[in-house]
Parts: sequence; C-alpha cells; structure tokens
Amino acid sequence: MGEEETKYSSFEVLEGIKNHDRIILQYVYDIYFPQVCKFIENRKGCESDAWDVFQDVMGVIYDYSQKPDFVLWIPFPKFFFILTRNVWFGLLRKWKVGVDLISDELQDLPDEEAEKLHEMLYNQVISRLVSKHLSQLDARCAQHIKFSTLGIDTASIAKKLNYHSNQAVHNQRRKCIRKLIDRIINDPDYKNLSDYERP
Amino acid sequence: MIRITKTYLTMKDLEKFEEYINGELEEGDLWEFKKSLEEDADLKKQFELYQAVRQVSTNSKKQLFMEELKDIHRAQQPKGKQRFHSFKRSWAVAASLIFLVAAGFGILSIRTQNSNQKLFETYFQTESAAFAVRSATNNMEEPVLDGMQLYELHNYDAAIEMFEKSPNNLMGKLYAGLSLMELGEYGDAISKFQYIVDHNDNLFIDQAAWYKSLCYLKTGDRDLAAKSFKSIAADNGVYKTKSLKILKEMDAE
Repeated sequence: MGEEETKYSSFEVLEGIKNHDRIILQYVYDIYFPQVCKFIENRKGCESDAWDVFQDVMGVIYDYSQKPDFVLWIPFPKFFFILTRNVWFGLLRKWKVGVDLISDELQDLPDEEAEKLHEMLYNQVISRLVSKHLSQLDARCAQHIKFSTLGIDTASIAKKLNYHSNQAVHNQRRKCIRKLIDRIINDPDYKNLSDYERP
Repeated sequence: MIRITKTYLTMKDLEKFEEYINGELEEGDLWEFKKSLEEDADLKKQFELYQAVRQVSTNSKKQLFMEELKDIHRAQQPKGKQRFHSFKRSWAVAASLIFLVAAGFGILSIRTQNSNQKLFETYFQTESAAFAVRSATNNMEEPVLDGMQLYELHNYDAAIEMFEKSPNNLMGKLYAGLSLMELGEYGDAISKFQYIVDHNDNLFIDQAAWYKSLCYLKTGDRDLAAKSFKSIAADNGVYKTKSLKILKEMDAE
C-alpha cells in the first residue's frame, strides 16, 4: 500500500486538492478509498470507519495544502498512507482493540511533523463533527447559526426569521448553539478524540 | 487525557463566549473569563467547540471541499453496487451495442453528446452562495439576499422569482443563471450569464463566462463552447487552468 504507480505527480495531486480540482479529487477517491477500505476491513474495521478515516485524512491534507510554506517531503501515496495508518491505529489503540501489526506498518512521521499532525487531526475531527451535527439540526436552527456566523446583522435576522426583537434572536441563537454543542459532546467520536490530542 | 464534558453549558457561558470573541469584555471580566478557562477544563472544551462551530460555519472553502468529497462518495455508491450485478450489466452493454449498430451513422453524434455530458458533469459544481453572501451583505438588495438563501436551500424556482425582483442586480443575475442551470434550463441560463459578460465592468464576469461555456457544452453547442473556453483560457482569470484542461480533453476526443 502506498507504493503503486501514479497517473499524476505528487505535486499535481496536492495542487489539485488545494484547488478543489474535481478530476484530481475523483482520481484520489478512486485510487485511495478502496485501498483504505481494504486496509481497515483487514484490521477490524468496516467501510463506514474507512469513510470517516478517508475524510479525516483528506481534510488534513487539504489543511496542509493551504499552508503557503508546506512542501511534501515524501511521495503523495506514502504520505497518504502514513496519515491513514496513524489515524486508524490511533483509534484502535483508543478502543483497545488488538491487531497484529507488521513492523512496516508502524511507520511514523518525523517528530516535528507528528505534533503538528496530531493537532490538525484533532481540529479535523472536531470540524467533521460540527459539520455532521449542524446538518442534522432542524433547518431553522441551522439557518440561525449560519446567518450569525456569516456576519448578517441581528436586525436583518430578526426580520427574516420573524422575531419580535434582537434579544429574541440572541437567545434563540444561543439555544441553537447549545443544542449543537451538546450533540457533539455526546457523539462517540468526540469521546474518542483523546488520541488526537497533542502528545 | 481528554475529560468528557458533563457540565451543562449555560446561556450565561455562551454570552461570555460571544462577548470574548467579539472583544466586548471589559478588563476585569476578561481576566476572570481567562482564569475560568484555565481552571475549568470542561468549560475550556466547550469554548473550543464554540470556536469550532464558528470556524466551520464560516470556513466555507473547506466545507465546500468536504462536500465535494461527499458528493463523489455518494455518486460512487450505486456504481459499487453495480459491480455485483455483472450479468445484468452485460445485458445492458449488449443492448447498448445492438442499439449503436442499429443507429449506424448516428454513432458519432451519440458519442459526442455523451462526451459533452461527461465533461459537463466533471466540471460543473454547484456554486455555494456562502462566499458571496458574506462578502456582499452590506450592500445587497433585500430580494437578492432572500434569493441567495433560497438558492442555498436548493429552492431554485423560488430563488429565481426573488432574483427577478432586482432585475439589474448582477449578483442576482449570476445566481439566477446558476439556479436555471440546476433546473436544467440552460438556454435561459446562457442569457443571464451573457448579460453579465456584456456589462463588462463587474466582479462576476469570470464566473459568468465559465458557466456560460459549460451551458454551451451541455446543450451540445461544442464549437461555441470551445470558442468560449478559449477566450477564458486567454485571460489570466480564475478559470484559466480549468479551461485549458477542458479544451485539452475536448481535443483528445
């Protein structure tokens, strides 16, 4: 895994991810997602675990790609699977699930990258959970949160959502945010986050 | 180790979070708030989540990226299942072949139509209104703002009605065109985009020209599409690279 011939260079793939290039994204999905599935299904996981891991790894790579000083120091396939292994084995350790590890699979990142990666993964998982629970909130609450964070002023929100006062908008927004935060806190993935915390 | 947060987040806490983020806390309150974050790990976690909610809702570029991945994943799901029905698929392929043979000279036009369709699907992505709303809320006309919200909710017919209430608003025109594309009314969409291109002094020309070209591709007007993509590629706009790529793919067919 991670050693195969590639149609695009590592630079092209990273640039494609950075610029949301649909062709590259489709290529990365077609090539890597089945391999992530196979890797995880052979190590006590299922396809839905693989999809979460794939999203988290891609989210972290996207964050890396947006850093102006980031230079990929190894080929993209290797980079992708180092991240995948780190994410998956991190979860297995947390779940205290034993797996027979081949020493080759325990490739680690350089020390200076490991700390950064843990932080980025932590943020990525939080971001995935916010997004997931935001989409599951009732439409009015989700709209409320979105309007507020988009910087639309309170008076306009009151008018649009038929509130009698600005204070009512503030109260409702806080209720919606509280509802969202409570849902995230009760998500099992949030409880698993300790392995992504900074070492 | 992380501590699982059990304490209920109060409205007062949220009010403090907002005031802190907005820089509205007075010196004494600010010191007290920072101290409580240091001393109360649960509150700190909740504050981190509060910040994440704000960040996720506003970082629409990354959200858009994650949505694109989800779209690809969703689109692949039925294909994955089809692999298990190779017998049925063989019949479908055979039937297609018979049809193509019977069609004789029609083959070429079907192939071209399919490749137009494929290119369109590869390159057309639903445009998010979030960026536009954020950057233009201060001077946006009321019906356009309403239209954008309806567009975000995928209520395209209602969005178009709203945009038509501000017929000279160029952002409204752009999103009316995009709504028409979502509804499959490509001819009408072209005229909206053309209006923006002809206006020639606005921020939406790049997007309008790009989507207009995609509409030509979708309606089978390959020559006009190629001409339009070439014109985009000749400029140094945001769609230059994509236009060069699509032209290369059109040439290769």
